Amino acid sequence: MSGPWLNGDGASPSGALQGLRVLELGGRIAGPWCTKLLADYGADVIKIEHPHGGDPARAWGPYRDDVPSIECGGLFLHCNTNKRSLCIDHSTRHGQQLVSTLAESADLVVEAGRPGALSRHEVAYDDLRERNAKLVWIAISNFGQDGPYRDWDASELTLYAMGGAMQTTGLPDREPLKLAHTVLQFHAGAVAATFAMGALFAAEAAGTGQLVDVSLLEVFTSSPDRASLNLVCEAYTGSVTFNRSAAPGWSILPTGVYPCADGYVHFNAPLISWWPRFAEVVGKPELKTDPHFIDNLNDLRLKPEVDAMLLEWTMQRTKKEVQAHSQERGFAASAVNTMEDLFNDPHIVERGFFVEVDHPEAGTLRYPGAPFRMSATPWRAGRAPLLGEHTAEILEPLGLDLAAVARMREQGVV
Amino acid sequence: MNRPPDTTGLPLSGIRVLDLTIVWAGPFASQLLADMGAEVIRVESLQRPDVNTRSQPRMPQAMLDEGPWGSNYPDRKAGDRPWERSSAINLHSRNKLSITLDWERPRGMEIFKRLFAKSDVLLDNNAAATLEKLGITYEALSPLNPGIVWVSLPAYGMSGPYKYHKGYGANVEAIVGHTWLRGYTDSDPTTTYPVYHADAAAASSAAFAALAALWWRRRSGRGQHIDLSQAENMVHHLSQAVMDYSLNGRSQSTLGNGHPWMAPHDIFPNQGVDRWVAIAVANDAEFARLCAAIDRGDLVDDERFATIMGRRANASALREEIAGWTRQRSPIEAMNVLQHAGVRAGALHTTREVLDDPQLTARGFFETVDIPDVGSYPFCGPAVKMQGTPLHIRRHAPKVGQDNDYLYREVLGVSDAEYDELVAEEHIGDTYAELLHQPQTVKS
Repeated sequence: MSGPWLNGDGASPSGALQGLRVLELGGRIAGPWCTKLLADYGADVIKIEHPHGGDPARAWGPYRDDVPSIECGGLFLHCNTNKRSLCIDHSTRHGQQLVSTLAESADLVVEAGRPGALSRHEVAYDDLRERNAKLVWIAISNFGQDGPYRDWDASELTLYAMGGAMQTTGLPDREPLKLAHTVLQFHAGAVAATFAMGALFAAEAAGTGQLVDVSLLEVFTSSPDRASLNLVCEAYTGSVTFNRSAAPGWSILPTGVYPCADGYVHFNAPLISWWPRFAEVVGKPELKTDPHFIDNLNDLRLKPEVDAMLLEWTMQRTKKEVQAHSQERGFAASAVNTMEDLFNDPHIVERGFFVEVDHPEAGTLRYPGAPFRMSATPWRAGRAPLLGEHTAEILEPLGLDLAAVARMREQGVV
Repeated sequence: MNRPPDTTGLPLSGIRVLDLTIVWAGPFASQLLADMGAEVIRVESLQRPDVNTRSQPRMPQAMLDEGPWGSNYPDRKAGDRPWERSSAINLHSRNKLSITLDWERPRGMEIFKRLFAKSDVLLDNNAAATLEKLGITYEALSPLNPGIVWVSLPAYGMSGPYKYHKGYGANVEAIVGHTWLRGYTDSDPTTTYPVYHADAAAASSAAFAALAALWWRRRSGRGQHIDLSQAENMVHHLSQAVMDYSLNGRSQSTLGNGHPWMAPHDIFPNQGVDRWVAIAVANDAEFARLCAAIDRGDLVDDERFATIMGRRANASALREEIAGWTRQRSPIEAMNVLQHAGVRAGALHTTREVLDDPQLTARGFFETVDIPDVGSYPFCGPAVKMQGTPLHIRRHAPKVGQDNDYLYREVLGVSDAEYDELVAEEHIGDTYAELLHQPQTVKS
């Protein structure tokens, strides 16, 4: 459900992608994240949901007071703003016809599911391209549309493991660790949106659409967060630059998380030339010329000594104080925020990032705002649709009157 | 003339991108555009080596002989031109072009502006102050090219109290809460290692933003400026924690390798040292398949494990039961057995095993690139397969100034005489000025 337009300069009444017609099939995270980016910037996204529970992510929470509700899951509410929900069982003959008819006038289909599953119902790309040559079809799957693992199941955890990055995150003497929640599936959704735009440019130029095959494993493996770089290092030398046995940082300057009076702070010192800044941060300018340190900035044996000086200083200050004092001296220190800290962070608050959105069942909640702000065209703060909320509204222009919709409802099609 | 490879027929052919990006997030954003055929031009200078993106111009060999840093150079050798050998530049700058100019001198700035006037997109992830000091801002330059799509993706955005803060990927992770939300459940954040998901997140969003703005320009004729705060962008990726706070006022802490509701959802030890397999079970049917696959049908009947809630409450006992089976197998063997039984399982591959993975190999994911004076190595190919317009690594990352000839003469129409002057003034060249002026340390 579309909401008010924010940002932009007022010259354009709606978003950059106005006029783009998108169908989303399959739900979950990466596909809906891809289509949310499109919808929030102006595309008309029809979310096709199965009558039995709709998008699986509706069942994934988090819920208010942990009470499940298919309309009020936080992940679903967040990932599906500004979309319209059409409830169709595409395994029925009528349902197939409806999807085909909608695809005839769509620019883009974003589908997430098992490769081949839609072919059984004749609503796969090969069935629909005949009716719409310019159609762009984004197929998101765990492992891609072919290959020996094509039909395997997966999760964020198992894909992060297989992509090779997990073996390198965590402490050397402990088990490897994943990243929080499903961050890589969000990245995959944004990658899919980027390549969808590319395919739309290509369709405009050539007059023909195409299938774009997004493998989550391949997106995870080529992620700039260490996975892809380690692969180059391995090919170069048979060893990797990021691993659990490597010391954090490559000099005696602080890199990593340090405790302070009320929590934790992350320090980052990418260059040894930052040593004078460190001296200023801890209030010991004499260190700038102390040969004990400046002649040995890469000698990690001195690191405990440097860390001790830093800790003595941080433990007397709050994370906000440490951050402000360090940043004023050009040192990249940042508070380790909790969710509560994030919602109250002065920078995030001053930029007005979070937006309040009303929803008929979930009520008024704060949602993350525009992931990027466009100076000319706006971003909209809308809400997620109720399951099947727009079924009649979408089917009526197709020549189906309310009586026909009612009959289809009785037959379980919509 | 040494022209870059033809991009005719590729999705973004004909779109020229001025790439002012550095370090990590920005170069990966422009990589996505370059892989789709955009003419992405790295703007470099001979006077200020890009040490964060390419390499220190002189790497002490002793730093590379041992330890993790050395693996960034082929055979741990920096060579005479380490900035052309380092891992990052060759990974993210394939399919890009390089021009050299010194915009801190008026003539270099004039050339930059001429190139700017002929470009469609500008990407920049510098600290906000860096380009402001040089007068390179959207406000100042867009009158020269009102159609420009200018994407700024600094750590925190183009306004607000942190606008001028120093922020690398790991700093952004801290501000948005990712550092707090990951890590061991029995420890505190000091045991979290830096990760750089914020860079990946900013890269994909920035590339999308550029294309969305170009899409609108095709319809309106107007360019615009995009303000992408890497921090704000990444907040979205933490949806489950953000929305839990929004719904319940609950500040989540780390789940380790756990999951809000799947159980078991963990890694299990395998045969060998530090070898693991990940297993994720979403429901009772999957749990029954897991138990059958490891020949422990008795676990299904064990009332401690009959429900998700039970499996969560008795996670460590269940873990030992499953580990009894995994310990006798390699990660890949365990993965294969479990996957064939319909269980979500993934080997914790070593980096070597990823390069050899049957699925990635079957799909031709890795592409071997022959880089002159560096060697022939496999790199991750384009992140996505476009069946109608196949994407590949068309050319290795550019040497510094590799495309000067094409860009100055053909794109900017610089005369031979002017070209020679620009060479003499060290705008145009292929070796950093500080090395040219220390000839005793440079082997030609």
